[in-house]
Amino acid sequence: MKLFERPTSSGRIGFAAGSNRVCGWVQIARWVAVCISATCIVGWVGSIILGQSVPLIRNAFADVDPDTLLIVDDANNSISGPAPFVGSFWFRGKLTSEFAVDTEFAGEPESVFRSNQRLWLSAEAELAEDLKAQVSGRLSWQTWISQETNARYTLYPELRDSWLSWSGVPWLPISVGYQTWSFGASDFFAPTDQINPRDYRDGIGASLETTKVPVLGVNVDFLPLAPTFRLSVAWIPFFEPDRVFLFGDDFGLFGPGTSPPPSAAFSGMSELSQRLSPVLVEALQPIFLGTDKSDESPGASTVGVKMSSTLGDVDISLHYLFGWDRTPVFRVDPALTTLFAVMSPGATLTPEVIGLFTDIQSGKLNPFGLFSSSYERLHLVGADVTFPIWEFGLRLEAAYQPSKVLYTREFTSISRPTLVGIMGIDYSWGTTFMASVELSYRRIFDFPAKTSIYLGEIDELRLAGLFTLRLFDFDALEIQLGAMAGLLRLEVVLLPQVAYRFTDAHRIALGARIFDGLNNTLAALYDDNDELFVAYEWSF
Amino acid sequence: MVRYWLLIGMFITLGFPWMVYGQSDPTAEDIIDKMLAEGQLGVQSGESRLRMVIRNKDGKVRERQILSKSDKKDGLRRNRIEFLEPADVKGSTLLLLEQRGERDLQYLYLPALKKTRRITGNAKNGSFMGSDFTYADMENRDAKVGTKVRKADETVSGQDCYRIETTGADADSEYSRVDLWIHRTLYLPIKIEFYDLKGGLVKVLATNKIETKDNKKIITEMTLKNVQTGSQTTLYVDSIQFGTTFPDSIFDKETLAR
Repeated sequence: MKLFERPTSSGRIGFAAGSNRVCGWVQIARWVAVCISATCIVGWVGSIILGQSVPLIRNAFADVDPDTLLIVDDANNSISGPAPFVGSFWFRGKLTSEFAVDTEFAGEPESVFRSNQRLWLSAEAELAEDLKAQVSGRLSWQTWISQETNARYTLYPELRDSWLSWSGVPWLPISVGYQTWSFGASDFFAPTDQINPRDYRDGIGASLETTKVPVLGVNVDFLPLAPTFRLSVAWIPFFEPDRVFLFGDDFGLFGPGTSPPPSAAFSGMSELSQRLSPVLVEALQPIFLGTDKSDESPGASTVGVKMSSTLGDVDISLHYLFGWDRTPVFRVDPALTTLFAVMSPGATLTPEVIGLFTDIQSGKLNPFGLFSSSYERLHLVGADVTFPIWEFGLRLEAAYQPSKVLYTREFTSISRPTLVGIMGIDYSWGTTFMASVELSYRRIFDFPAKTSIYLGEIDELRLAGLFTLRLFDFDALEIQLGAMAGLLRLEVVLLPQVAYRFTDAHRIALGARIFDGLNNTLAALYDDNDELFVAYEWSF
Repeated sequence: MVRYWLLIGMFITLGFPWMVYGQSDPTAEDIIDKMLAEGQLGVQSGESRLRMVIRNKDGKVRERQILSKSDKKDGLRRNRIEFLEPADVKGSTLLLLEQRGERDLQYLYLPALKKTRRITGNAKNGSFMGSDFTYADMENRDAKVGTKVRKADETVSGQDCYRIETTGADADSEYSRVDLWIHRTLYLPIKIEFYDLKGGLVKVLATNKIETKDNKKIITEMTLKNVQTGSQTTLYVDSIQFGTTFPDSIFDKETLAR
């Protein structure tokens, strides 16, 4: 087993290990057992340390008859009141364990089992009446096992929302630190919500809590400039890219389960991930993700402005974001295309390829210079409106980008004006049933004729929804279906889940992630990654 | 009709609303007006810590702890209710903003999603954090709407009370009728019965304990029992501070996250 330290794509320090051993169902069962045991031990020890017994359902207290019990206490000041200011400190944590098994074994290098263990810790303090602080972090331990040979894991700490908030000037509250911003009213497509990067490494079925990455910045709210008008300004000095796996993971863009490769030029990418040791793949990945970032000067920072108001029963917000498009622009040397093509099944070494290898060996050709990528500036204007209509809540959102980076199916980058419109409807019947549905329409303007977009179309109409049914006392049983469907080109993502909350602190869930779609759709990319999962959550 | 939700809402959102008010044989309108006015006289802002104990019909119990901050601006009530316990809902914050002539605005910040959601439409009839209260129960509405009829005075829990029957709720209300028993000298609600749209008794709100703080009588324990499901929720005031002033930012939906 090798162990080495590496910088991951997110800039975090992580540890990866690889081993070569026979790995079948027995091996998977062993890993599942080890992971479950470890989680139970951590949970048990933690509950003892924190003084909580794990089964937290308590006995009923004495029955209270509302008609007869009334005490009138005439003694003055019999209730303890807090001093003018009493500082407070809160600590909370959460342990989440997820074990997922791939149900479609599309290729031997594909992971057939993966586990995700996360420990969230958060401390919050009211230091003064107008000063509040929060520090939170996350420790993740992820494991992948392929059907054939390899088991890998990563362990990394991560700083999450950690900030200082000051409201000494009552109409000008300021917060500084790692923060999460929320622009726009859309829950699922969120075209305006682009201040924070996303972590896509858990796939498109990952929870919202996991996906959004806090970034270092300053937030200032001007309120109220008028009775119901407020202005919020976010400044993020340093650029932080999205977090993705290119390969080495089933949910990587070129993972072993992805199909089909975007073009012949990059068909070798997925071959690469299958032929190399996973440890080497992990090491190579940062090279390909080494997109040129903007320099860390004030001129390269991101600024987001939100103006919001409430007019009667209607909430209105306008947004402007001057930042960075997190989809990198690729520049690929034809020589690299030729080299990758050799890795495709059935490819032969041509004199051209041999010449290229000779140039690389002699130092005439720098292989790392054959591929480069960079980020472009982003301008985004958006607006959203929220209001009730009959028994429903209605959300409307629109976002326009004059220049959005897209990929063609030949995997070249292209920037075009893009407009996205969202209509969302929410409905609740008590807490027993809740439904939230969003319809999204995206239009790309001035796109070259006879050119196809990678994983998309010029016109896209998509429907997404979350349906939740809660049953039993304290809403203990939760049946949930998350879904996304392409209406113009068939693609479906289904995320069914059944969860049971034993107590306020303990919850277990069983679910599935199902992907299906026509060629060149997002769902088709992960078509071979259908999986079943079981998840456990302990809050303390 | 009387917006009886106010009775529940003001308790949860602060717990200070009613105090001594002397008057002889007033009308139903007078009684309701005075009872509601108590919340507007003398106590304009404050902070309280509450315990919410929810018990289902089988006797299983869940407990929540709440920090409530409340004040008035331009005569309109503003409340911020933050959940402190248990850990899985810690940081969830409900913001209620009274509107003149409109239903209250309600926003719920969910820390897991880092997002503030507007509570609209039918969602307001949902359970407030698993309790027997609904989000609509939290609202402070116009007390002048509806029909109020004074019935014969009664004694409840040994206390002399006025009895008021209110009908004619809004179309979106989940109650058809509400009966109130109001203390004759304290003008505090001692008992409230809620009837569903079919006329059946659905909930009973009872005052369990009245204490004195800064020479004001306040309710420090009350129980809402759902007689149809057998569950009940008891609210305890653990501490309370009158007259606290808060910056506007406390009551702004954009700042719920921080």
